[in-house]
Order: sequence, then C-alpha cells, then structure tokens
Amino acid sequence: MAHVSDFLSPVELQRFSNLQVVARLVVEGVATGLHQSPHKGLSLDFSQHRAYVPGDETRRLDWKVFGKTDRFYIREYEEETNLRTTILLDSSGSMAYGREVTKHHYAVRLAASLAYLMIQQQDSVGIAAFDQKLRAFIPPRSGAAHLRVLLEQLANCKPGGETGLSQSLVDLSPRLLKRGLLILISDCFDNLKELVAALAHFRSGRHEIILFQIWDPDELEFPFSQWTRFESLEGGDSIQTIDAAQIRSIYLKNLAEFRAQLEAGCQKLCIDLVPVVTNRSYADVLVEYLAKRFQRP
Amino acid sequence: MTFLNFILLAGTGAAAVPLIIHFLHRRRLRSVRWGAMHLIENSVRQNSFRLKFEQRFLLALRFLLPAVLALAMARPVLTRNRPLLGHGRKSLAVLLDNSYSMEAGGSGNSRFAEAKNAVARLLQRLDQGSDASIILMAGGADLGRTNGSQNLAGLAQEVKNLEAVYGRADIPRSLARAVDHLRYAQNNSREVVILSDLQRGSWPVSETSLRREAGESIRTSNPGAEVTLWRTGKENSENICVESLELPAMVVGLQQQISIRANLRNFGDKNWPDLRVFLRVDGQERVAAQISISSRQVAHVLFSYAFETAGSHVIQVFAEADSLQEDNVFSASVLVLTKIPVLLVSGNPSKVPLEGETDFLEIALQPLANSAAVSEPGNHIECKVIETEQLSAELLAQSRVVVLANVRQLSDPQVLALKVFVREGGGCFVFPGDRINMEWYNRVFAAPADPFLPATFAAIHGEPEGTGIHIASQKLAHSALQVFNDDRNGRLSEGLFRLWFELRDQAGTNANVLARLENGNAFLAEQKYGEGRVIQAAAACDADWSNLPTRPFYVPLMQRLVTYLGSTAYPPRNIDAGSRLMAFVPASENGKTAVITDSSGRKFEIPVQSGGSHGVIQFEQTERPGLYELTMSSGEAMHFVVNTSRAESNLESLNEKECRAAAEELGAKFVNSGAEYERLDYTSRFGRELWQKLIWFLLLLAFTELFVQQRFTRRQS
Repeated sequence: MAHVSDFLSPVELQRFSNLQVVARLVVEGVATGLHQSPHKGLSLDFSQHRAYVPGDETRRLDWKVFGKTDRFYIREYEEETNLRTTILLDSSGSMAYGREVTKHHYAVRLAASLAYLMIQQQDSVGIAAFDQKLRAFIPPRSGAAHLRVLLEQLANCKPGGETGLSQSLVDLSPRLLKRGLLILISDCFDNLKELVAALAHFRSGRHEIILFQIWDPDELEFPFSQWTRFESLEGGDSIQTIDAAQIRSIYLKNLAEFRAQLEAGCQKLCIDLVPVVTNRSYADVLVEYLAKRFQRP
Repeated sequence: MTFLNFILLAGTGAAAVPLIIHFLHRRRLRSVRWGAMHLIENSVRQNSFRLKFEQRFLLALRFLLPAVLALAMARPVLTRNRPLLGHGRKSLAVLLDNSYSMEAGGSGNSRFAEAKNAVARLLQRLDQGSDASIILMAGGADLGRTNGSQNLAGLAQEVKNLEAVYGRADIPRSLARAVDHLRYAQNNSREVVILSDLQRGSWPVSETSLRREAGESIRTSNPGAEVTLWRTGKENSENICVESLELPAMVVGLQQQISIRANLRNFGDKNWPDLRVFLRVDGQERVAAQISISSRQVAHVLFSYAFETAGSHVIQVFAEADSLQEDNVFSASVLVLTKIPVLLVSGNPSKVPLEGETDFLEIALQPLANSAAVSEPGNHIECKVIETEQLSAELLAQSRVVVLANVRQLSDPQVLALKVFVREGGGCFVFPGDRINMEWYNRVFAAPADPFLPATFAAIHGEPEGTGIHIASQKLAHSALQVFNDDRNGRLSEGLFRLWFELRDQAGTNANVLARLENGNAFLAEQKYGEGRVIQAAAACDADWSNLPTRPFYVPLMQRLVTYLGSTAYPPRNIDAGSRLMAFVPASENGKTAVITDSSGRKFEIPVQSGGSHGVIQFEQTERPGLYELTMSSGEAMHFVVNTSRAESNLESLNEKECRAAAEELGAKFVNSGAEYERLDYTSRFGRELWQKLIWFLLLLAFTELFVQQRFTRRQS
C-alpha cells in the first residue's frame, strides 16, 4: 500500500505542514476547518459591528459595546467551510519525457504533496488521471484513509497514450457538481483553443483552477545540436529526423508562442498558471507558490 | 592552366570529407523519444524549404573549403594556352622614340631620359644568351646588329649616349624594321617594346591601317613576337617654339640690310607676356627683342641686320622659353657675297648715254656705281658690259649672271659656252628687241630636244606709237617679285608696253610664268636649265619698247631678278633632314677631300668631284637636324643647316583611351610605367598565379561558413 513517505521525504513533509492552502473562492458546505465563508451568520468567527436597525435579531446585540457607547450595535460573524479540491493528473505519453526525472514522476510527487496538504488541513481532495480521456477518478473526501486511497491511485498511474486534456475536462465536468478547487498538473500539450474553452467552462461554474504546467529543461532549452531522430512518446507515426541545431531557433520561437498563448488564455480566465521545471524541487515550487497565494488579499 | 605543385591537387579529394561526415552524422543518429512533438512538427513544417536550402548551402560551403585549399596549394597558373618562358633567353627589339619632343621635361627629367632608363632596365632583365637591338624611331642608325647584339652591356652604354634631336617618329617604318630585325633573331622567344611619349603628331589617324598591318606582321611572324606599347614621360603640353625664319630668298650682299622674320608659336595654355627673343649671328648675340605671345597663338619678331663680312654665316633666333631647347632655336645658313658679277651682253651698244641697249639696265643694277666706291654699302651687283662678239667661256666663268640684251644671235661656241655656264648653275636673262633673229632663237635656244628658253618667240605685237598694254595687276608668287604685291614697293601695273613679243609655251619645258601682260601673254617666263635658271622677257630692257626703265619699280625689279638668278647659282644651304647636301667649291678643290662635320660632331671625308667650272660635293647623311660644317682643303668653311619639321613641337599626347586604342591596333599590351611592365612581363614568363586569389577566396568561404552557420543556428549565449 502506498504511503505518503513514498512520495515525500521527511524534510518535505515538515515544510508542508506549516503551510495553509487558502482558496480565494468560498465553496459551499459547512465543516470544521480553517477556510472562511463570506456568509455571515451563527458562526464562531466575529466579522464586524453594525448599527442596529429595527428588525435585526436582538440576540445579536453586543451589550458590551452598548455599555461603552450607549448605542445599539449588532455582531456579524464569518462562516467557515471546507475546501473541495480535485487534482487532475496528466498521464499522457508526453509526460513520460525526462532524462533523470520524468515529468510524470514529478507530477505524481507534486500531486501527492498537494493531496497531503489538503488532507492535513481537513480539506477534501480527489484525484482524476487522464490521457486521451479520463482514466481514473476518485471523488474528493477528507481523512487519512482517503489519503491512502489517493496515494495508491497515484502510485498506480503510468503515463501513456495521447494527450486529451480538453476531452478529459469535459468528461470530468459532470462529476464535479459543487464548486471547488481544480488543480491541473499537465504539460498542456494539447490544442490550446479547446483546452482554454474547457477551462472556461469550469470557470463559468465558479471553480477555481490552478494549472501547474510541467516542463522538462530539454523542452525549454532544446539542447540538441546534431542530427536527431525525434519519436513521439504518445505513439503513432510521428517521427522527425532533423538537424536539431538548425531548427532550434524556430522551435524556441514556437515554444514562446505556445506559452504566451496559454498564459494569455489563463490570464483571461483568472487561472493561476504555474510553470514548473522538473529540475527544480517541487517542494520549493509549492512553497513559493503557496506563500505567494497566502499573501494575496 | 597548369599547376606548380600538381601532386597537391589530390587534396581536392578532401572535399569529400564534409560529405562523408555529413552522411556519417546522418547514419549515427541520436534517437530521442520526445513529448513536445507538436512544437517540432510546427517548426519543420513552417521552414522545410529553408531548412533544406540551409543544409545544402552549408554542405556546399564545407565541400568547397578543402577543395579550394587544395587547389591553392597546388598553385595553379594561368598560361593562356601558351608555353611559359620562365627564365629563358629572349630576342628583344626596342623601338625607341628619339624625336625631339622626347626632350620635353628638361635635362635629366625628360621623357627621353625616362625612356633610356627603361631601355637599361629592359636590357638588365634579359637572361644570358638573350640578344637585343635598339631601333631609333625618328632617325639615326639602329643599335645592335641586324640580328641583335648579345653584348647587352655595350648596348646599354650606347643607349646612354643617345640624344633625342630628330623630327617626327615614323611608327610604321620603325615597326617594319622591327620585323626585319626579328627575322634574324636568334631566340624563339621574341618581344618588341615600343617606348614613346605617344605624341599625337606621331600617331596620326591616317596611318592606322599601316600600324595595324605592321602589328599583324610582327604577331604572325614565325615565331610571333609579343608587343608592348610603353608610354614614357608625363603629360606636358606647354611649349613655345621658333617655328620658322623668313630670310631673303636670295644671296645677301655685304653690308646689305636684311630683314629676318622669326615666327613663334605657343602650343601651350600659358601666356608669355615678356618673352625674350635673341638674334645670334655666328654664335654671338647681336639683337634682342621682347614680345608677348598668348596661349595657343603665333607671334612674329622682325630683326634687321647687315653682315660685316662676306662668306658663310649662321644666324639663329633663340627664344628664352621652356625646357624643350631643341625647338627654342631656329637656325639658317646665309651666304654673304661681296659682289654678284653680272655680264651684260649688249646687242646694240651705243656711245650716246642711255642709247645703248644695256644702259638703263646697267644703271639699275649699279645705281651707286658712278657716284661712289664700288664697296659702298648696298651696291652688291658688279656689272661688266660687253658686245656680242666678246662673249666667251672665260668671261662667263668670271660671272654669276649673263644678260643677253637684244642680241641678234650667238656663234656655236658661244651657245655651247652659255649652255654649259647655265647648266653648271649660272643664271641667264634674255631680253629680246628689234635686232634678234627670232628664227635662230627658236631653233637654237628653244629646240624641243634641248629647250634653253622657257618659251618660243612668236610674233611682235603692238605699235610703236600705239596706246600699248600694261603689265597685268596680279598676285605675284615668285620669290623675286613678291615684294611688288605691296604697292609701296612699286606698281608693276604701271609698266606700259607699246611693242612686245608673244611668248609661246612649248612642250617639254618646265617653264613658269612670273608675270603677265594685260592681254594674258607672258611678260616674264622662267625655267630651270641644269643647275641654273633662265628668265625670258617679252620686251627689250631699254625704253624703246616700254616705259619700264622710267618707272620707279625698274631698279628694284631688275636688281631682284638678277640677284635671284645669281642666288640660284649656289645650292641651298638650308635643307630638310634627309635631303642631299650639295656644295659648289672652287675648281681648285677638284680631286681633293673635304671634311663634313655633322651636328653631332662626327666627321666625314668627302671627295670633291669635278663639276665643270667648279667642284661639287654631295653628302647624303643628313638625317640628324642641326648645323653641318664643310671644310675644304684650303681651310675655307661653309655652313649648312639641316632643319626638321616643327610638328614635333606640339607636345600633346594621346589620351588614355587613344593610347589603348593604339595598343590594340598593334595587338600590343599597353603600360604606363616600369612597374606595370614588369608585372605583365612576369605574367608572360611565369603565367599568372592564382593561389593568392584562391587563399582570399578560401578566407571568404571560411568566414561565410562561420557566419552562415551562426546565422542559421542562431545559438543563444
């Protein structure tokens, strides 16, 4: 059975435990936890004082303030709720690239880290793995036992097949009835228009989306300088035998365009796009990203 | 083309190395299983043509690099399909322009000095066993034997001593001589080098076809010769020359005031407002003048001078002008006589003054004889009047001119003596009258087989008391009569004839009519007879038939005609270059040897031949302009001046385009300097090596490959 230590080292575990995941959007539901809802009602957390107007419930009057000011004010409270997170893991063939660490291996570790964090703060986490289409789906739940299920699923995930991110998102859509956080871990090597359209669909459902785009350094630098035969990891007949040095500049130009298009699309949909390179520790990536989010108003 | 290191040409095989490496690289592919195929496929699809082109272009550059390097190391040489001489022997003919325009530029800096240095350099460059000849284009004997001299050092020394004093360079003739030289050349490799200032006057358009033919001849001779046209000297058209002198065409009398007119021409663009011009006589400066001559204009200077002593004199007009000295001076030889002895044969003598046939004539020829001493200045004719019977060979021998005035006829010995006299250079003036035996004159003196007179006497025209006819008003071309074209010197048209003979032309003569009457009949006719001349008048020389003796022009007319006849007794002392120099010397010199010193100082011993009443000296080697001196055994000297055309004074040269066209006519290479010649000569001997150009090309290829490689891959630092 998979264990969190299979994915995270003790040092990494220590670092994660001090973080909190804060979602900007408040999802419905009531549970114990640290995430707050703008719905002000009977809740343990005080929000603010407001002048009493005829019709307000008298039980909400703050008598201490009256004693001090001889004026009537009522207390308003913030309602806390739990976070429903679904982690989408790209298990297509393109994720199998990597010389020392494959992108998929990296993505799995990243997903495990995120799942651990969520479960630790008693949030619900689910996993969905896909290639051409959705291959596996574990609905969001909380609890240590659920974490083990999630980790088991992650351990069994193997990359292969063509990328069908857009189709997978379409397949996933009916399974996510309530608003939540969608963490997409993928290289996004798919039709960008369809991908952005699919993401827009989720955004229209008021889901929050964080997109971790995984890159191998070779994909970003294209360090090849001789005649090279490139074979697609996603199968098929796609083979290109070229003098890599000759197309490098064009490749980099196309890469920059691809990234710019994706960035523009995500920005338009208010999706956090986090480019991640596999030669960087995913713990550092997460720490950096979460710290940034925590500081955001 | 050939190669100096042929074996290294095998290095071009190294060109296959990039190709092999290319294929090896393609075989030893690196395989990568890749995720972002869409990015690669887009890249390839967008630039497939460009990628292929870049690959092939780079491959071609890499293929060329070792090939060009190997080619450069093999040292290819362009030979133009000719065998290369290398350091072999050669037969060289140098055509050296020694016309006087080559002295432009001044001593040591002249075109000729540059040309001589060029010749010295050419001779120095010849390898042992080569031969050379120097052909002088304007005149002078060629240097080197006809088939070339192998004593190159001696030839070089001879060239050093050459001077450029001659007239126009004769290009076609010089080229023909070059062909002759080469015919006997000793080596198979032959070359003709033409060194000239390419002065426009020496390269007229009219001689284009001649030059072309000569050039063709040289090239097609077996074996053919290479021709090089080498321009020497800097362009310099500034030049003033004393173009000509106008002297009295006749002999000059002692203390007779003569006018010497010098004509100067400015060929350049510079104005000379204060040009000093000098008259020198026998080397001594006598008169100076200052004139102004503008750019490209002519100017005239008039000097007056009277000779103090008789004999042969040399006058020179010298202009203190530019550095081309040859044409700054014009020389002339003048013979000054004490007296011209004239024999007047009166056919009708009389003791009554002015009734004798020759009375008026005698007074006219000796106007001051009665009033003053014979030696009075201006009185240069000495007359002796005789009767017909007294005429003899002895008296003729003492005279220069004989006048037959109304002489009826002569005896056979007299006729013979007279003809001999004129034939040997004497002058004869025949005046008819009422006493002449017209039939005898026509039969004896106007015989077609031996025409002594220029015309036959036909009928007498006019009436003694009639109105008569005048001498026609006409332009007089004869040197003795030209002065009368100016009315201030006398109007010949005032001469009125009441009676006159019709002078009829006869075939077989070279008669020349000097003046005509109003009705068109000849008044005076002249012809050359042997070395002398005969003038025939249509009327008597006294006042019986005309009013001539009473007219003011009578005296100068008669003096000039008689002086003219007396002058032609002497061969000209101013001749053109290449003409025969002839001198009459006293009969006492016959059989002896005279010495002629030419303008370069060379001496020639010439035998004096008998010419009847005098000795005759003839000399042909007058190619070199300048002063020649004839010295007889008695020590007496005569001066001759050989002049050449002043066309050489126009220093304007052909322009660059015309020079190249001239070279093309000759099938020659054209060079402007020694360095240029040496470059061409080296190419001709050793071919043109291409390795330097190939190395530069190789560097260019290398940089191009580097640049293209960087540009195509666009590696980012």
